Amino acid sequence: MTDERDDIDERLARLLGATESVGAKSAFEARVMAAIEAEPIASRFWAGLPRAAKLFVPVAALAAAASVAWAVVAAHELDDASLATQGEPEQSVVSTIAGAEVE
Amino acid sequence: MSDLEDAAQRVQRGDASAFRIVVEATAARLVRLSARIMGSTSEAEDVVQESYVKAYRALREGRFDARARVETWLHRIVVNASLDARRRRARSRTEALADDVAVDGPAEATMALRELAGWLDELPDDQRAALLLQAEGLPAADIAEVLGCSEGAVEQRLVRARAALRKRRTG
Repeated sequence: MTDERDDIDERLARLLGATESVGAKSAFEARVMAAIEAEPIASRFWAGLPRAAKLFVPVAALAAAASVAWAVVAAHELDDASLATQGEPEQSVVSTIAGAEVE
Repeated sequence: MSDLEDAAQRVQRGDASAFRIVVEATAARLVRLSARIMGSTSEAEDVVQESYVKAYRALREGRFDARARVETWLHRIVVNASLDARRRRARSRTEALADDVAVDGPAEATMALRELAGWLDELPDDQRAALLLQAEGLPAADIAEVLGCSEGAVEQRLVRARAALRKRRTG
């Protein structure tokens, strides 16, 4: 058992030792940097945002669009209501007049 | 803060040239690790280059949260990319390693690389990776971080890897 373990460790050590000199060729680093420089640059605004903030941006944009739509609809409804009541006396005034006539 | 962490922060702030510091400090180890997994230096260079590009993008896009050390994080990217590439190669067995002897420098190292990869070939990925990361001198805590498991699981994988190699030898 011990001999087998020794054999395995010995073989592993021999192979690791023999491959210790394996490494990148001299031009490798230049090749990597050329690939890095060819990468499209994300905008600084976008690149500077943390990941959570990036997820929040589309949600916030949708919420903003929904708010604008709601505001437009509400403004139209208000305009319609104003037009409908123009020229009509207020209900309280009508009630007061009606009450006076009964008396 | 180490030079690597400092360089990574500079890349995050938009200084692409600082990535050269990261490459210069880690390329030799990462290519050797990938070559030991792949059994081929030229394939390892492709895998490591691809890994550097991924790492660079992650830094620029704020996807590196600095909880891990930069070097450990790079090891994780390279190990995963190497294991993926190895699986792809196994699926399309048409690509032989024959051209390596001619282009990979010392023939002795190339032969040893191939013998190592062949010897560890039947080990599961996680055991092979644990064994080779240990060979790189990484402490168990760092291996655990690279492989995304506990230190206990790393020890277990190392024991199992040796047992499997022993069994194969006697079997």
